Amino acid sequence: MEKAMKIFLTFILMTITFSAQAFTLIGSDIATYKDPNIKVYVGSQQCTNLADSPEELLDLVSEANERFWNGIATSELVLEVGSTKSVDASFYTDQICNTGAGCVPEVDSGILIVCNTNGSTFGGNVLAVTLPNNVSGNTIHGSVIALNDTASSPLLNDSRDEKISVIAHEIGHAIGLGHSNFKDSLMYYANIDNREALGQDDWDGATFLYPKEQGAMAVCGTIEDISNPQNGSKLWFSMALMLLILAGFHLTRRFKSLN
Amino acid sequence: MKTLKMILLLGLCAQTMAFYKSWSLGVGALSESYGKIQTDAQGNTNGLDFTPFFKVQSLSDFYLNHQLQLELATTLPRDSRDSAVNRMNYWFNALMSYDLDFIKIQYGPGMYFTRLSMDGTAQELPNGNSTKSFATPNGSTVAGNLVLSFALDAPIPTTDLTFNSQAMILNPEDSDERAVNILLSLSYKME
Ligand SMILES: [Zn+2]
Repeated sequence: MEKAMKIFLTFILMTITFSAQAFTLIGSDIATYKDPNIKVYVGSQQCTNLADSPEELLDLVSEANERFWNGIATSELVLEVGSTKSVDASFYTDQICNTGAGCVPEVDSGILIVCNTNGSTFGGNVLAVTLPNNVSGNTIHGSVIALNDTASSPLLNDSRDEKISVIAHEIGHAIGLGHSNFKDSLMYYANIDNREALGQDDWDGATFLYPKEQGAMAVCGTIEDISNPQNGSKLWFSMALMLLILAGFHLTRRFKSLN
Repeated sequence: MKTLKMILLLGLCAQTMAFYKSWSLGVGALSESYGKIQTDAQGNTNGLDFTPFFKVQSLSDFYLNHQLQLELATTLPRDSRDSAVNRMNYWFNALMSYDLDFIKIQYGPGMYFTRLSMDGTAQELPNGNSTKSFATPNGSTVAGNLVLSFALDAPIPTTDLTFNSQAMILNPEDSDERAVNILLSLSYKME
């Protein structure tokens, strides 16, 4: 008995360690697509300096989705490959900035990827720039991803795998995520050579913004909007209820033995 | 559908009350989404990370030579490396348990919750060729996954202790989002 308790306590001590990581937001507050099934389109105009055709870019999008964002167990996020799309010519030449004079127009829905040759969009060796540019309140309606298509674009020297990682990173911005402080995460500010999967920050970020809501989350019928802060307490209530029930078994047993 | 779930849940409770046998307290180590998450710049993915958890469980007789083991477990809220994200998991399992004398084979459904919260402190991070202040959310989210678990439950001879090793599968039907949590625990039979 005493020995058993000792083993038990040692096991408790052995298991106490801590770890987790951080993610950030693209904007000043939480903004997400209302529907976690998000379509990614590619502008149908051939790039000026990059060799990839719009169809080839769609292929890269497909791989970026499969390799990265569509495998998160705790997130509802599903990125869908859309089509090539005929869009306003200014998307390819104007600056990527918030809607105004000299900025690209708003993207009406989903995520739009375009090749962009505007010198002011890309400073130095920036590979791509992303901007959710159709946002109302906490809802993103549309985002634009501009690939650096200038003559000196560093993307010109990137391998296929690197391009896939770049597109996936930019899609991360488009769905509402900012940068991560850690190299192991896709949302780290720079590309790394061995980018195989999402990092903990990416998982946490996508889970925070687009949480999975399966099964028993509907049992109690009290969860209206889980992405809304503070609603977690309702789950605590249902867990506390379970604990009470378990305590109930115990008391029932006691009661039975009195008879 | 909601009514049906309610009836099933109440049925489960009634079942447990009627054929209740014992209850236990346990501690264990949780490893989430084994092998799915990149952990360094070399492309390695996560192995076992042994997050501590605590559980309370009850055992009742069930039909077809099975017992029903209900488990309720939680980790402690744990800080991030840079104290920015607070993460906590809690779950509920209803395991059918088949006794082979020296070991029990267990399987059944459950619900696994992931709670993430942040305090809204901005982070100054590299962005292109300069740095930028990135906002973080001020609040929390809870994600809920239906899970399917398989476990081996081994009583340690001459003690009231039981060692349990469990594989908890998230999204078993979805090959992209399928993930496996690995749980090792030791429980102490209270009565
Ligand atoms: Zn970025």
